[in-house]
Amino acid sequence: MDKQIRPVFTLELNHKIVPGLVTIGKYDGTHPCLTAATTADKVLIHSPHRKNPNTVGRVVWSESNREIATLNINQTITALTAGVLVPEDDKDVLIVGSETHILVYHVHDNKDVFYKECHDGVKAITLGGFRDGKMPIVMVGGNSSVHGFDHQGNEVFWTAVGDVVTSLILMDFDKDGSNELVVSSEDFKIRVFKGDQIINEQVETEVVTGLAPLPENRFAYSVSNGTVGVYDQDVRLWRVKSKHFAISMQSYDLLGQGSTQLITGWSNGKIDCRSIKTGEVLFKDTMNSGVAGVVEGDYRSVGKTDAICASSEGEVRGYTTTKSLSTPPGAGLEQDTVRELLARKQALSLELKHYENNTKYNENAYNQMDSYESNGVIPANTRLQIGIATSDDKSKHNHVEVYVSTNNTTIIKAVLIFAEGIFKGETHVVHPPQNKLSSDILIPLYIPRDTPVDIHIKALVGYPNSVQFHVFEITRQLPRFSMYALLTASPPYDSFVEFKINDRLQRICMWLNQNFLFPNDIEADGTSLKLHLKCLRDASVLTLSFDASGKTLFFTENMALAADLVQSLATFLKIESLESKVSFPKQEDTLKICMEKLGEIQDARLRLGTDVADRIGLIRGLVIRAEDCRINDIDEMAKYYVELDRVNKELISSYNIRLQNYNEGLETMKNINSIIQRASRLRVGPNSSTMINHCRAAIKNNNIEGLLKIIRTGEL
Amino acid sequence: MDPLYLALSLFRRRKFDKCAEVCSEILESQPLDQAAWCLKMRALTQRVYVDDIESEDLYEGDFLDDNAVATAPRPGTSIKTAAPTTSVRPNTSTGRPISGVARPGTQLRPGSALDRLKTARPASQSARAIRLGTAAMYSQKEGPFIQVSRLNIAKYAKNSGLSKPLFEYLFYHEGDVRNAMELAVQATQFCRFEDWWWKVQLGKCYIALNLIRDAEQQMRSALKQHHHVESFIRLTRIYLRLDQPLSAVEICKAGLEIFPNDVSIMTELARLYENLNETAPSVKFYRSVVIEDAMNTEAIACIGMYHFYNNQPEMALRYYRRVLAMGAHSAELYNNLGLCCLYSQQLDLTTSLFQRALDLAIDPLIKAEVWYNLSHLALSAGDLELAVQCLNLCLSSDSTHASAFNNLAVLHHKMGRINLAKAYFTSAAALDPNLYEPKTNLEFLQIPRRGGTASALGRGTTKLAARSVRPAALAARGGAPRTGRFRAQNRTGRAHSSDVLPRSVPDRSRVEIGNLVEEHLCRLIETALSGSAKARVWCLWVLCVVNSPELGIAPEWGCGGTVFRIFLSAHGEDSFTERALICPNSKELCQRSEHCFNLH
Repeated sequence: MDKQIRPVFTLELNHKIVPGLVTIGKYDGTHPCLTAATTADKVLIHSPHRKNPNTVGRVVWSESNREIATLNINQTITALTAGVLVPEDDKDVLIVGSETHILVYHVHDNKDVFYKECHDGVKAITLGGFRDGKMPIVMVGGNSSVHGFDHQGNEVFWTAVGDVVTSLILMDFDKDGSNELVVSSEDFKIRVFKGDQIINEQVETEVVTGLAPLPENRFAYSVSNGTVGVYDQDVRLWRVKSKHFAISMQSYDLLGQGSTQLITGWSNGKIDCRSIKTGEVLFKDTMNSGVAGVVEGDYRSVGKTDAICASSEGEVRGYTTTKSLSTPPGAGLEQDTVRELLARKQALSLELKHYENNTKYNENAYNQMDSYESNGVIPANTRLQIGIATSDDKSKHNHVEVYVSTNNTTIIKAVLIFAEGIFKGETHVVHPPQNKLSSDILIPLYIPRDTPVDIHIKALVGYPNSVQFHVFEITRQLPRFSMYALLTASPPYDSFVEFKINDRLQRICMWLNQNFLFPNDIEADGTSLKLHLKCLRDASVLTLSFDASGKTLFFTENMALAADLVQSLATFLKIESLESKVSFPKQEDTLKICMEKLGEIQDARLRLGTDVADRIGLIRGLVIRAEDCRINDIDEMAKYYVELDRVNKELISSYNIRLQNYNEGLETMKNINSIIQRASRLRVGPNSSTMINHCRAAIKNNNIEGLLKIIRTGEL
Repeated sequence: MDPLYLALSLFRRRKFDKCAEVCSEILESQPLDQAAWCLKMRALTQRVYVDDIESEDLYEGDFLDDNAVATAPRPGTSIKTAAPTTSVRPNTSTGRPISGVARPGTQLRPGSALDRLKTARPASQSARAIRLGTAAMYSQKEGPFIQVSRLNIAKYAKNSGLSKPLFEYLFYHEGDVRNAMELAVQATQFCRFEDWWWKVQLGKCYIALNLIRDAEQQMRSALKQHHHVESFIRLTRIYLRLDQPLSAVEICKAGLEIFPNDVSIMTELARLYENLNETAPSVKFYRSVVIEDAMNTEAIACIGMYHFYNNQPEMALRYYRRVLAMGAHSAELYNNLGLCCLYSQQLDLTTSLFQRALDLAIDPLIKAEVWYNLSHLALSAGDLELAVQCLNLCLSSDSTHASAFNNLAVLHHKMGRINLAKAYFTSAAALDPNLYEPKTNLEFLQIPRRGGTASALGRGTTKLAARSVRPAALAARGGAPRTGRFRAQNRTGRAHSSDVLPRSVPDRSRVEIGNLVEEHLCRLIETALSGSAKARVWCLWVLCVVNSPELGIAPEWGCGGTVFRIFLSAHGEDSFTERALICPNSKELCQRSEHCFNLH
């Protein structure tokens, strides 16, 4: 593109900024202030519009830059956001998340709105209306749950997510006029919550790192493998992949098109502006270091917002809407179309030429069999056959096997499989050694998760000595539960989920055939159906039992699998609400142990905290005494410093103990939350959300028995 | 008599030592007598008990911790950055807003927190913990009463009758915060987090350990269960530690809604506003305190001081006399009475009051301040030699009195000893970096004079800024009394005038003396020096006139006067009489001059 957009302002903050932790807030109600977390655990507030004199009292603003003030947080900052929270106050508050606490701070008045401990950690924060949408809520995403707080710090929302939350946004997902909560987590999923209920779930190929709301009910997402894409409700409009990672996304009308574009800041310092509908790059610029954040605000006091990009080295650039005059959009479109058509014409003529060549050889086919090989031509009737099956060979193959063969003497030189999320990277190439080339090939695939996978197979077909090969392309979809092989019988289990559905067995058979890889389609005969399956990953056994009366039982020790099955079945049968009885003795034991451990850890945490504080007090005293000795009694000084050294070492070791305690606590919390989350997924609809609320209450009261009962029956 | 009854009676009569002795005797014969054991603990605790709320310092950041969130808060939202003063009230020598009563927190040593630590008295949290600890040693004659290390805390935590006295014993007498806290944690768990008292105690422990945020949680949780004045005030103090005075004000106001007209909360609120340099709300709350408790020395003294700095020395005099009538008898009080008399022109009483102040002043620092004020008296009488002598005496008592050095320098300069003046200015500037007068004066002395004679250098105006008092009740805790300070400035010509216009604070204004009006001004200044409140008005008038060219008004008397009158009406909140006197001015002129002020 030949459009020239130059930054309207640039400035240097002279502080290093943590990527991703950049926001903007109008702390005095009118003037926006760029706010960022620095690498020194401080929050930096850049307020170029500040009118107060600099020399009041003893305040010393930063020597190098008088527009910058910093806030002490004293903990690693993990999330940062700003917005209006307090009712009847138009001033923005700053919300700072650290590993264990959330601080909601009124910058203008220098006072806390609230300060709260989050045992679950703080990984992402967002602010906005939710549910009825009247009062803004602070949503805090932790290691395995999402909490919502009102402006007084009361918890008004809680849900378990199952893995570390990476990003949160509040947006109107389903066009009903009220906001839904979109959560991305480290288990590669993007979930949409409406109230307490999950209304949508998308699985990406890697950890989703960022989300950004876009106008017209769309949202953008970024993935840790460098992908950026846009969803319009549950439809992915586009995605692109880059070898760098997107740090920040913001919608802003940079090109004056009347609608906004998606501005993305990348880890290598690239800023690009893409069309929201197509993902086409409309503008690019590069900063000298990685982008730390892109925000929008009226930074020049001109009454119009600018897109402000901050880099991790503290460089700030502002861009504003620039209508390009050099190339009218119409002319560009025309040229592009011509270019595109020309390219297509060339491709078509090339293809035609190939066909002509082929026909020539095929005419001579019968009398010149040998020349195929030398000429790189294969018989026209060559077909590629594909079979997909689960291997039930107990000894070695725990895989889904893809069998590829040709129907004549031609051999398969290599097979390329393109699929997401089942290999490292995106492609898998199988090419047997020269002496083992044959007309068929068996490719074992290991599918790590129970998700439907599209596999694109490209097979290179020819003769052993050919130089040129023909490429056959085939696309297949692997069903969701493909890693399960049929067994004839299995021992009974005491871990099961039981529920009742009102549907015919034939429909259930349809579901089974769609979602499993069976050698033959399952037919419903009689009044009940019982299937014994073996998981190829860990050789555990799964038994599905259906009854004509609708009573359904899934026997498995794997709660997550049971949850997946329930959810899949409910989606297939369009069940709105489902209550189930659950029995997973092993998980219950784990839960019981975890809850007890959590109690112990919290007790220990208190003691360790005071330990550290006590030692810090000691150190403070020792430093003073040692320094006093420097003046009064130099010989004593060494004694105090030796003591100081000892206490300091103790402090470090107690800190390490505390850290370990903290990590253990986090892990335990995560286990508990993931069990709850799975248990909730064993129910469908309102039942699952009521169950989660009951669980929260039980955890708050440390009611272990109650918690187990809720998990078993869904009721308290 | 039953020894336990005797012990109880002794305890009630606050004879704690004897009570402890009697209890020891009981315990010798019956080592497991819990009642005696408990009583002894209480007696020992009460003996060393200090009101830790009242004795708490205003916390300005220890070194090695930074609890305060904002490093550069907006003025008016932090104790460190009180809003720029709009009244004539000066600051203390360390830049803190001045109060009528010396409390912990009204005075801070100069310099950074670390600098303060390097001086003799570290005003840090750790120091206080040490002090609490040493109190315990004092009473141990035959080994400690309770072996804390052998104490089975878990056992006592479950005994609700013993756990509370034991906690107080550990916290106040032994100064062992760690074990006290251990006890509190177990006790609060035992009563299933339902006893607010333990939460408050836990908060206290956290404060002592400098875990401010945890303390905040405990206090808030305690307040949810039970409203108590102490909890409110402790929470206020926590927010002061976090340097969030506005949050503290909010807490106090919430407390006042539950306990309307509670003296402690209102006093706290008044102090808070005072620290924020917002005198009007501060005095409002002090007045409410006086309505509730007419014997509240602190409130009376603070109102008195407010009137004094509000140009109503007569009113101030009444309040201080009230303090005197209540039985206070201290150097500070007599000093303040003396200053009030001086400014309300009751000159006959002035010297005798200062004489009494001198007689009562034992602390050299206080003595120095009295001599310093006496130098003002001498200046008012026009006796420069006496003033110099007073200042020298002041410096002999306190050789670090920066203001005295400054004034001495001005006087010497007046007498033509310029080099001596320079030396004194330099030492004044070195002693107190916050004081701006010596610096400006030095700068002025550095400027080469252009064609002027020594006389053209002219006169300094004296701005008489008297300082406040401290009633005897609190005098024991160190620090200098607040007394008058003489601020002087020498300037010449109109050439370097623009930088020092009064920035809306008449007290800090500097006078530019134009050659044209010099003669008139000299006369006025002399009237001012004679020391009446009216003279202060004159003095300000002069100031306005002299500054009028810069204000954009023609240098004529009338305009200057108007400007000044507006000044009075704008700043003298209570000076309705003055306002009434000045009212008949034309509206237009007022608007013009107001506009001029806005320009600056």
